[in-house]
Amino acid sequence: MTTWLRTWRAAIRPRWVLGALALAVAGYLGTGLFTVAADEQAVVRRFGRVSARLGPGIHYRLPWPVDRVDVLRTTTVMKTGVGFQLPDGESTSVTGMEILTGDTNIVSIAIAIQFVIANPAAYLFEAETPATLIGRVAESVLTETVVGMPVEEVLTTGRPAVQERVKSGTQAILDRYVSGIQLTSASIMTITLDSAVAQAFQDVANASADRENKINEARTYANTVLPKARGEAQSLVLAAQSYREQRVAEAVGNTTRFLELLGEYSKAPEITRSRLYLEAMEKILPKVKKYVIDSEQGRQPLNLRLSPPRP
Amino acid sequence: MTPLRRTLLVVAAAVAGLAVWSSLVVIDATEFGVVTRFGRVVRVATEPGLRVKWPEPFERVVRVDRRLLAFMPAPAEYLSEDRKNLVVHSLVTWRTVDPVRYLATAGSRSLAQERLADIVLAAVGNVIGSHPSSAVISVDGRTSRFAEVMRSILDEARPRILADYGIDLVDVRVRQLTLPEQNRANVFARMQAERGKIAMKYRSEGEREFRKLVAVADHEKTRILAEAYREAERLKAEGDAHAMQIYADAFGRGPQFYKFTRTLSAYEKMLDGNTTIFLPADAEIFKVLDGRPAGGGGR
Repeated sequence: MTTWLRTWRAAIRPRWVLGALALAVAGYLGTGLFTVAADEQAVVRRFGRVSARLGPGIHYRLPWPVDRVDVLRTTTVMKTGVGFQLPDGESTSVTGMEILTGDTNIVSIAIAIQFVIANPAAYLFEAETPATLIGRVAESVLTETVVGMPVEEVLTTGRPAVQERVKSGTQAILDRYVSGIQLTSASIMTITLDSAVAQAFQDVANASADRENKINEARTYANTVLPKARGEAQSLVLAAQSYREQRVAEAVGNTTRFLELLGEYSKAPEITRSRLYLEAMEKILPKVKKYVIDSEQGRQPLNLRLSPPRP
Repeated sequence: MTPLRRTLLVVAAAVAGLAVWSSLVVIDATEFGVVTRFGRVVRVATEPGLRVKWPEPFERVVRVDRRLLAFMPAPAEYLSEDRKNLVVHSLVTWRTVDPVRYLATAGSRSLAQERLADIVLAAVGNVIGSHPSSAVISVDGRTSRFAEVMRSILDEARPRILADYGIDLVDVRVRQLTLPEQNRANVFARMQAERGKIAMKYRSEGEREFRKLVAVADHEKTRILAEAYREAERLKAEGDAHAMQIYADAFGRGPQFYKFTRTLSAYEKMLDGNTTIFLPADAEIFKVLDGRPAGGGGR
């Protein structure tokens, strides 16, 4: 016993001991240095009680067991999935969680939620694993929202409303839980239907498109038929107008000639009359076969043969 | 110093060090520290920080998590008032507020959650059983009493849990609401039938709308043409009337002369190469031949 103590004392001189001790103490105190990156915040607990919140930079704290420090990324946006697990969610085949709609249809919805840690102290100390809690709470808000909507709305026009309600509803609950989390967005990744009914839903979409096509077809028909009819109508009216004008012009023309003749006639009735008569006969008689009968005096018929007889 | 005394000194120092160490206790921000003396609770450290107590076997510290904790009880099937089966996957969040009571009745987290699950699931069953399924499943979110139903579940279970276990039941939420597995086939069949009906409705609506639009267009076309016809006939009649008036005005000035000239022009048209006429020798045109003075007629 005394022999090993003596040899130990001989081997290690006090100077060495002091030096080693000082080094150990310095090393121990040195563990208190830590850095906080630009996108981080640190919360320091002294004997379990929150004593400081530190921003980016190099900081010092007392070493274990006095101070404890937690460094959190507060400006980086983090992601969590509703209805699917990250990072599996990065793949394309996300189906989502099955949800009942208000008209008792079953759809599967996957929502991606982005969040930041707004209050590091609350995030660390108020709730157990707040990051996983987000997904669970969002699931419940989604269920609550969709169960009050018809499936048609969920699949079509209701998407923004669902996203908005999931975001605001989840935020309200997380605030009530004092989770220190701020949601930045909730976006629906996919809404899928069971393969048993997907075809039927697709058919409804097709039918809706068919309806639109049919209506467009009818509009096209109307757009071709009506201008054509209008054109036809216009030409009909124009033709009638020209007929009217023609008739009037004819009448004016015919009567003008008549009135001129009448003027002449009234100046010299007998001469005009004879002249007209003879002119007419001149025009007519060469064309026709004529027999002149002097019946009153009982003479023989006299064929003047003013024109050769026609076969 | 004898070796024995030296050894005793070292041991005493070690024991004293351990005693000091074990009489200091750090209570974290996330927990309550319940100090027990031989198993009996003597005080509760509700604030975080460094605490002093009697060293180990005399006084011990039991730490109780004071954070909000969440767990998901197993999904349970319930019958609503109108005999519809619903499977509820719930999410329960809770927080210990009275650590002494909590330690005395529940003791550990797993045990506490078991108890909570029992009470909450029973409460969910009671509330769902006393509401028709339409209270939660409804197409119009505004008339849905979902939130109200959930609140009544919470109201039913909360006071009891607080009194019995020192636990504040913060929230009971329906994470997922589904139908029993055996109902799924029916639901899908119904969904299919519904969609089929809607598709058919859309298609017949399209057909109806098509026919309507085409009929309207055709009607419009007929109307346009009829109006145009009317207008055209009116214009023609107007032209005819106007012309007639002009004729009447002109011819009225010399009716006899008109009759004469018109007759002559009618002859010109009537009589052509196929016509044979027998003229009396005393016809006016021949009067000159007879030696009688021409132009003596004037009939």
